[in-house]
Parts: sequence; structure tokens; C-alpha cells
Amino acid sequence: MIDRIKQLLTGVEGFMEIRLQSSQTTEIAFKGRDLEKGTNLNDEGGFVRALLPGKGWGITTFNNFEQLPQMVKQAIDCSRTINPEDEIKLYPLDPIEKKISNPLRDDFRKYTLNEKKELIQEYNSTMLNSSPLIADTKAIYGDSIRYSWYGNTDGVFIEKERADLVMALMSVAKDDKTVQMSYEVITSRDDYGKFRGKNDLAKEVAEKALKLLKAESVSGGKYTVILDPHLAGVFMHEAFGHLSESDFLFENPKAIQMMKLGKRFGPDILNVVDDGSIQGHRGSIIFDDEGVPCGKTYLIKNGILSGRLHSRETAMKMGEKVTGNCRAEDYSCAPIVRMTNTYVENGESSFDEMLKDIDLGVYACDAYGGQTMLENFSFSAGHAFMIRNGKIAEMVRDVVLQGNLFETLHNIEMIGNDFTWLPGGTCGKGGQSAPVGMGSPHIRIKNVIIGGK
Amino acid sequence: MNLLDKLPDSVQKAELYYQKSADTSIDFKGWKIKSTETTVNEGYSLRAIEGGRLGFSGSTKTGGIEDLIESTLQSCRIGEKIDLQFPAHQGEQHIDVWDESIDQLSLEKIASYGNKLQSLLLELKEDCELEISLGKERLENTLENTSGLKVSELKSVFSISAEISRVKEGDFLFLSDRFFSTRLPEDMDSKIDKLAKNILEQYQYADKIESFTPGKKVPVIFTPKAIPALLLPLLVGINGKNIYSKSSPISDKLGEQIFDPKLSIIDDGTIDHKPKSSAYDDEGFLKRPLNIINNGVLENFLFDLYTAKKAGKNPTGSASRDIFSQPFPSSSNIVVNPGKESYGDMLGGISAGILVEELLGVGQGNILSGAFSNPIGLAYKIENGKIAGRLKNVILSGNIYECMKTITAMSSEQEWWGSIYAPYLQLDTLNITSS
Repeated sequence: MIDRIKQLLTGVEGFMEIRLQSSQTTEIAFKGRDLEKGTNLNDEGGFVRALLPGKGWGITTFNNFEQLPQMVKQAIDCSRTINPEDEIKLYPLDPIEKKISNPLRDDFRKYTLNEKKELIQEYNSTMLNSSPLIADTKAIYGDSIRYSWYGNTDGVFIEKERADLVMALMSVAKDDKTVQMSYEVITSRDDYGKFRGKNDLAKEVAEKALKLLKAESVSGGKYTVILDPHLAGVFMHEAFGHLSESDFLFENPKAIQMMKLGKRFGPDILNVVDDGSIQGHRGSIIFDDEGVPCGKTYLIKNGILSGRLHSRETAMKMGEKVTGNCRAEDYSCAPIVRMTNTYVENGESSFDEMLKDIDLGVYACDAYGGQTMLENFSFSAGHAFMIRNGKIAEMVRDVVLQGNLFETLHNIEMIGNDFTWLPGGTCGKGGQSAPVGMGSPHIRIKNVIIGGK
Repeated sequence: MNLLDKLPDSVQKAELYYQKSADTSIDFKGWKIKSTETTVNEGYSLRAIEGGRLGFSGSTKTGGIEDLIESTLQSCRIGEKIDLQFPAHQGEQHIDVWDESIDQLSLEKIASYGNKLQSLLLELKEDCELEISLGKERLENTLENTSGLKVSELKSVFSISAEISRVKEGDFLFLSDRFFSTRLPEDMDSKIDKLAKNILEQYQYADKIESFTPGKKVPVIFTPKAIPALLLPLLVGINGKNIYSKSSPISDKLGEQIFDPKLSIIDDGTIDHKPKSSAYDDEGFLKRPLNIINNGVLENFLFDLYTAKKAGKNPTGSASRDIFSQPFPSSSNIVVNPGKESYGDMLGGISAGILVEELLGVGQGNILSGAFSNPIGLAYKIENGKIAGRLKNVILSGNIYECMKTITAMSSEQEWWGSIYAPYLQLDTLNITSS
């Protein structure tokens, strides 16, 4: 495949990159007692991007590899239609040829569809049988192996193998007053064995949903809040991380001013990193989809804004170094600037130290999802507890954290010494989703607004 | 195709879905044209019943038909025992969703629309960023099954969206508007004028920032653009998937008065020129207008073949699918019937209140329960019947099954936003939290 790409790139005018991809995916999903999905899927397609000298980006995407020569021509035609005022320049890359493999500890391809089905069926039954109040469940298993072949006219050729495994368990509990749900996710990049023996986890998921039925809604107001590592990781990714993505900044002088490197963003104890070069997490991509090697980028160091994430185009435009953060969901998408593994480094406080002087606060756990409109964010905790007189008290629900990002970062009071990698998740941006890694210790923040009654 | 003929005799029933889409799009960013893209995607998905068990697979691999059949049969072997009756031909109906002139639009022509829109917004260049996306799409699908059904559909979609963003110290402002249709407007210039005018008008309103005194319940008017925050929990609640499993809080409430009698909501996939419209759903059933809420009474749920079978009901023409998914129930266009007052009168009658254009985090959290809690993305303060300025840092929360039992007013004017056609709607009992 790499040879075929080399051949197509030979003699091309200007810049061009070609990315071909083929993937096999297994998806199994139970909803309630029913098997909603249990199948293997095949996806194959290609992407060509051209940049003629002094012109704009021309892109084609397709499924049929036989159409490659026409698609190369069409991408060039698309590029030719654009006459930008300023020439688009790309950060220079050294030629390299590299093969990235994804060795497997317990190869999921050895197991039949039926064996995988029986594995999650057991967990699903555990959830369903735990109480008559469990009205619905979901048990989802997915694995995939994706081969991709990348080449560009700068002499970069990357062949990649990537494996992903994921399992999600969800329970919905319902009584005559309300409906509540809870979930857990496990992910791996190499080990089917990690999904075995998870009956206790299934039990916990169901029990958490049942407890939420009995929990009261939180009273809205301003609280000192401790975020558990899960919610803290998701918060840092969503509310802060996206602002470090240079595609939002590079043509926007006012936004650059706001995100000026060297500016104080939080207390000294706050360190936030993005690193796609570490092995084994969902955001571990080693090379990005422009063929740029990933590295460790400090976004916030000792509370000071100190780095941001780049594509070749944004790095060149802003006079900074590439970071290996230009990623595409798959062959059907142009790569965009986005995070890889984003995490908050360990602090020094123990969980007990964080708790002890809070008279009335909220311990917010798990993320149901979050949305930001730049400075404004909104996050739903999966579940939460009141903190009363320095102790964890009753469970509460419907906890939605809301606020202004900049104020909230400055309001961070303590960072825990209990860093954990999260299962990671799937991040959505510009209509594309990408697997990302996240990690954080507990974080304590004062004056957080919680919506509610 | 004749793929169905290649299936082994052990297969009792089968259904093949083919989809092909060809898109052309142009993006403007940073006040200039940035990229053009053409996309051709195609693939097959196959659903079959073998030994009484249901299986499914999908593929975009060219020439991968044998693999697709094999994957489907494997899927059948672990599949659920269920007897689905794939429909025979359901009769004819014509919905106008194809326009040759969209298909024939050249790249240059599409770019010229973008240039025109950009030039109309030029006065914002000093302070704002602009992103414009324009595109045309040709969608083709064919469905055939062993009951003898074979239907094909061709759809064209033209779309423009524009987004303005302004960054000031401590204040981000986002304004957007969009237009899409399956028919190329004859008066494209006036459509583009309207889009630009709408954005410029909002920009003026948004310039002045107002604060809000917390702790008070005041009237809140939802514009048609903000209505999805209220409709989404209901659309999840009427989805067949959440009905047969009884996880919806309204699964046993058919025929009951669950909302204010002023409220009527229709799911209608038969409206000409709308991208969510078509003659048949993705299983071959005819799309029909369906009363969801009639004068506040819950009348119908949305079912595809599978969820209907599970619930012991009939399919409602609501099946939707793509290459890698089995069909699932999904809403078409949602029409909320108008009220009696004019929007001007509604606004004029409020001495202190909030007008909501956009909420953040819509669809997030436990919406199946009907609960919502959303910070405002774009909202205005109403003072003495007039828009006084933009509000920030306010959260609206409630539960649709409580707060829509009493709707204060609905406007006689309706507007399209995406696939929703709705009036302005006023609620007086929402929880409002402010920082």
C-alpha cells in the first residue's frame, strides 16, 4: 500500500497527502434482555488532500480504492479553485518511514462472536437480576483493528496498526417517581483479558442507579466542590483543553491575546499536559494524521499558560513548533487540531486533607457529559454526595456544574496526590469523534455554581 | 445487485440496504475561502433471519459482498430469536426532495454564494471571526427485501451555515444562522440577505450585557431555535426503544393528558423540500404525519419494525439507518402547532423576563426522565416588553413533564430551525439560577 501511495505522489505539483485505511470492527450490544447488535463490520476508504502552490486546500474522500487516480486528480482540481489572500504554509517535516504496530497481550481475534457475546451477556444478566426496579440495561462490547497507510510529498510514510477494545455497562432504575441511570466503561489497547471477571462491576453499576432513585436533587447554589478524577479529567479536557487547540486561535488575534502564553491561568499547583507519545492509552497515536511525531506538551505549567496544540498549518502561522495533534476520525475526514492524552499532574493533597475543612460542599463524581461554549461550561455529574462538616454525607443527584472557565481555574484550591488514568473516552469536535485519553487526581475548587432546585 | 439471490437457502428472510452519498462543500474561515471538498461514500448493509434468528452486518469494502454475507450469517447465529415481517410494497407517494439544479451547481457558483454572504457581513470583520460552510449533497438509497419490496430514493440537499464569534476579555459571543433545503431557492439572493440580516440584528441586541437578579421566577420565552431543549426529552421518551423496554416515564401514558391542552406536536416526514422528509422510511414503510401530542394528550410513539414487534404495535414509518447500524426509530420533522397570540404581544406583555435563543448542553444528562438543566448560550433580558440586552451566566432547569403542564402562551408565528417547525413558547415556572 505504501508503495502505491509513493507511486501516486511521484511528480505531483505542490503538497499532497494520501491516507488509506481498512478496519474490522466487532460490535455487540444488549439492551435489556435483547441482543441489539452482534456483528462484524468492514470499513475501507481513502483520503487525499492537495495544496497547490499559492492555492487552498482541496480534499477528496472515497470508499473505492480503484478510484484513487481520479481522486488524486479531483483533489488537485479542488485546490485550484481557491485563491487565498495569504499563502498557506506548512511546518517543515523531515522525511521518515516508520511502521507502528500494536502488539496484543490477549488477542481478541482469537475469540468467536459467540464467546464475546456470552461474556457481556453475563454482566448484563447480573445487572438485570439485581432488582425489579432495574427497568433497562445496556451492555456494550466493541473491538476493532485498523490498518492505515499514510504518505505525503515531504517524504513521510507511516504505516500503522491500531487496536481498541471497549466495554460499557449501564443500568436504568425506575420507580413511580423518577428514572435514574449509571454506567461504567472499561477500555484497553491490547488486552481482552481485562474484560473478564467483571461481575462485581456490573453489580456496582446497578446498585448505583438504585441508590440514585432514593437520592434527593441537590439544592442549587454556590459550593466548594471536590471533583473526582473522572469528572476532573473530563472537565479539564472539555472546558480548558479545547481552548488550547490552535485551529480556534490561529486566525483570531483577539483569541490569541486571551490565550497568550505566559499568562496566569490558575494556582502554582496546576499542571496540565497533552501527550500522544505515551503508550497504551486511547489518545496514544505516536504519529498524528499529518505524519508528525507526538510529544509531551505542557499546556499549563505551575499555573502559567505554557503551550498549545498544533497542526502543521497552525504551527507555521503562529511561529511555534508542531506538537503532533492533527487528527482525523477516519478516512472520510480532514484532520483537525485536537487533544490526545490530556491529564492533570499529581498535586500534594490527600483526599482527607481536601475534605476536612469543608462545612458544606459537594463531592461530584463521574461525568454524564459536558458542553462548553468557550468560557462558559456546563457539566453533569453522574452522581454526587453532599459534604457536611468535613465528611462525605448523603448521595445527591441532578448535579450540574456551571461557570466561567477562567474564574473556575483560579478557584482551584487543592490538587490531590492520587492521580489515576481514566478509561478515556471519545471526544467530539467539528462533527468528528476521536478516542482520547484522560487522567487526573481529585481537584478541589471553591465557589462553583451548581444548578438545581 | 441481486445480492439477495446469493444468499444460502437456509436464510428465510432478508433485507438489503444500499446507500451512496456524494457531497461537495466549501468552507470559509478567517474571512476567506479555506477549503473545498468532495466526498463519495457508499456501502451496503444486510439484515437476515436464519434459523429464526436475526443477524446484521455492513460494509463499505468494494467487492466485499461475500464477506458481508458471511458476517451477516455469523451474526444470525448469535442473534435473537425473533420473527420480523419485512414489508411488501406499501403503495406510492411522492414527496418532493430532489432538485436537479442543486446537483448541477458548480463549485464556482457555490463559492460565489459564500462570497456574497461574507461581503454582507463585512462590517463585523474588525471585531469578529466568521465561519461559513456551504454544500450540496446527493443522497441515493435502495432498499429491497425478500417480501418483494424494492424502493429507491434520490435526495438533494443544499445548505449554508454561518457563525460569527467575538472574543473580548472575559466574554465570548457566538451567533449563528443556517439554511438548508432539498430545493434550490429561486431567490437565493434574498435568502442570503435574510441570513446576513438576521446575524447583524442579533449582533446589535447582543452588544449590551445585562445582569440578572437571581432567586426569582420570571417568564421565559423560548424562541423556535431554543425549543429543542424542551422537545428532546420528549423525543427520547416516545422512542420505541424506550417504550418496549418501559424505561420511558411515559411508556404507559398513551391517551393521557400529559401537557397543557394548548400543546400539539406532529411528527411529519411528508413535508416537501425538507431534508428529513421522504416517501418511505428506511424499512420501506410509508411516512405519515403522526400526532404525538394532541391538545396535550399523548397519542403516539415512534416505532420501527423491531421495536413495534417487541411492543406489540405497528411500525409508524419511523425507521432510520445507516450502513453500520440496524434500523432504529427516529423522528422526522417535528411540527409544534402555533398558538393564538402574536410574538410581539407575548414580548410586550412581559415586564421582566428572559428570551432564550440558545441553551448549552442540550441533550446532556438524564433527559429520559424529562429533566433538563442548561446554562444559556445566548439569551436576552426582557424589560418592559422590550429586549434590554444580553444575559450571561444563567442556568434554566426543570422537568418537561412538570413545567409544560402549564404553558403561558404560544405565538401564532412559527419558524423552522433544523427539522423543527415551532412557535415562540412562554413558560413561567422554570427554575432560574444565576451567578
